Amino acid sequence: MSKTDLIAICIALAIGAYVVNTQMKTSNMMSEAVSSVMEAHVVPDVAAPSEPPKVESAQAPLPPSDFKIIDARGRTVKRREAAALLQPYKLTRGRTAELLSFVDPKDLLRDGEDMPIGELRGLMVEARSAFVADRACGALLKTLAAQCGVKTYETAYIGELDCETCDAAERLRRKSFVGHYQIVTEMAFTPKVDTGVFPETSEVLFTEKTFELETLSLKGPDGAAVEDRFAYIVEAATRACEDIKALHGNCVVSNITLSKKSYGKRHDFGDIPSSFTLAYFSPLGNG
Amino acid sequence: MIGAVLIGGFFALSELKGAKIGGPVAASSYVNLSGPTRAQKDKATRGQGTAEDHVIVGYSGEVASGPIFAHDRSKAVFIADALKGWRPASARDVFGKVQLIAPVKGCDMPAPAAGSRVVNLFVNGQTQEVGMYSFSRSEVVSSAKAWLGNIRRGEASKVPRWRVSPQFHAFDVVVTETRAPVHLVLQSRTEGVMQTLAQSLVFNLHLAEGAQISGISIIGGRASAVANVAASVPIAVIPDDALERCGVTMATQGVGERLIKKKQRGGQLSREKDLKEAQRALRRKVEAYNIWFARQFGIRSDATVYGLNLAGGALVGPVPGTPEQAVPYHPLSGAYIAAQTLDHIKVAGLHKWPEAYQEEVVKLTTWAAGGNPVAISRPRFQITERLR
Repeated sequence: MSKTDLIAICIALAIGAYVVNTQMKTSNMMSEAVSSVMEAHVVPDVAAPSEPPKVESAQAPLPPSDFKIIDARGRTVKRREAAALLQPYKLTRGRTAELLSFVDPKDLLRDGEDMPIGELRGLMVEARSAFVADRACGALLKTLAAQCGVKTYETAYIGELDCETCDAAERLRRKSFVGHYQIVTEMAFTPKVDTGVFPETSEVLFTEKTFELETLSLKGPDGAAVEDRFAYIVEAATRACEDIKALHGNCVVSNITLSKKSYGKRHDFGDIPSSFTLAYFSPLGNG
Repeated sequence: MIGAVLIGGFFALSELKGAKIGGPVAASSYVNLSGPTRAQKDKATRGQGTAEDHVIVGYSGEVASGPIFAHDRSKAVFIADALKGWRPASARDVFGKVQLIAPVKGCDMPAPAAGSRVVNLFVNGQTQEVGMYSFSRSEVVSSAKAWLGNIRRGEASKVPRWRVSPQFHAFDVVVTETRAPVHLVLQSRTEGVMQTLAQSLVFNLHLAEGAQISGISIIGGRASAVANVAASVPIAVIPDDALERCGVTMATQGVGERLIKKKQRGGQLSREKDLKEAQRALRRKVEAYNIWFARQFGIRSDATVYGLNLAGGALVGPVPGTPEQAVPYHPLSGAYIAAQTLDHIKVAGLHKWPEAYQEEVVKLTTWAAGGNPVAISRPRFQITERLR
């Protein structure tokens, strides 16, 4: 068994212990932080949310150009594929988060506004879903991220279940979601904590490992449960990354996912996969 | 009594006439600043041989291929033999008055007046464009959503335009029938080869001395209007969407058979059983339409309908004896127009086109966003990595 495998097993065990106990032992501090940006009424008074902050790099110098990066199969990794580690102070495709939010259209109305009907309601939600996307970024900024940028956000109406094989229980479960919208926000972020130091070897092994957590199973559009689970994933990822950093000197959370796209007509509506991915370098060859 | 409901009020009044017109230029080369020459006029309104020589049989049936109108008595006439001083309508024409009318409620049309002659005419294919535009709120909503997508991609300047042409097209109806008042049944057909061209038509009336219109029933089309009609003439419209809601399909045997043959050639009806079923279904649809039509007007449609695909007009009644006796052409400029429209109507002289459509998209999106959509939905992320 290689050292890498051993590390992976250790981390998996650590995460497993976390997940088994999952009556959300999330720290109060984190919950409060997330909750504070996920208020019921998400439309701010200001017309437009502020731009994500520009953070000037104060990072450690990049590894020398002859720093060769290899993946677990022995293939050379392009530097942009390892951007999650190599560019910790820039928004990059290498570090992303995907969060699903359930939105009740009335939460997007301003005081005194009437609820639009028909197709206008969908347009209103679509036009204001930017606020929900910003809110998702806000949750990351309170915890994991120094910078956050919304890459994409997709809005979809949750209608009646269109599934011939579904039973009564599934239909009933779906019913409680009907009339809400789901918004999937994909974000890029820079980590708040230092990524650590890289091995001083001529070759490094680039590892990106995804940890699947227990699926969040909702009986209805329970925003608080989603927030708690998101905070939990962030905390689990942060702790696991610290463990890896202790072993290899470096680590970054390269993905957080609490989302499932394109499942509008599926019977498992309300089951939301959750996972996180960590990226790190470990030494290969001679120093 | 035909009870067209009048809603709204007059607008686009005389102040339009002096307004600067920003609509698109007429497509026809006939229009030029110095006016057409005699030779140009002749060529545009009369061709070689007889009028029927300019009728060709195409995929959708008989098609007008020259300067001809459909005719209820002889299939086709040269335009010059029906109308005097005809000129193609143009997007530059500025109407005098436009009054809005509502489509019929329910699935039935008011009956023609007693003693009137019911003339059953079909129109298929877009002709001369005019400066009137109508579109639905659904289309604006769809464009608004597309614009939000553009804004998110950093392309806020790309405000989408319509997907289905909102422009009205002119169709001249010349009436020389004087023996009895005429009830015009105008079928705006979208079946067959032109089925994707949802039509909005302005039927421009030109009446000979002594001719009377007792009522007008318009079936099909997206939006419809009648120009140069007396305000007292009842007009009833049942547009495409209402027909669909009522389960009425404007099916005709000839077009239906050609569509079946097309499917056969495409291999969709290769089994004898499927072919027979398609033919049976067509007969059922045709019969259902004729039964509905007869209930409205007392006659079957298939036994009485006339028209030519792609014709720009039709003559109802005898051909005037000489070209000099032809009916004078009434232009759309300054005309009174009764129009059944979709949610929005824009007219040349009052609105700039296509900007007016895009303004509606911006207005609706701004309302939906509760503020400036360009600021609210702006792109929030730019890839900054530079690694190779």
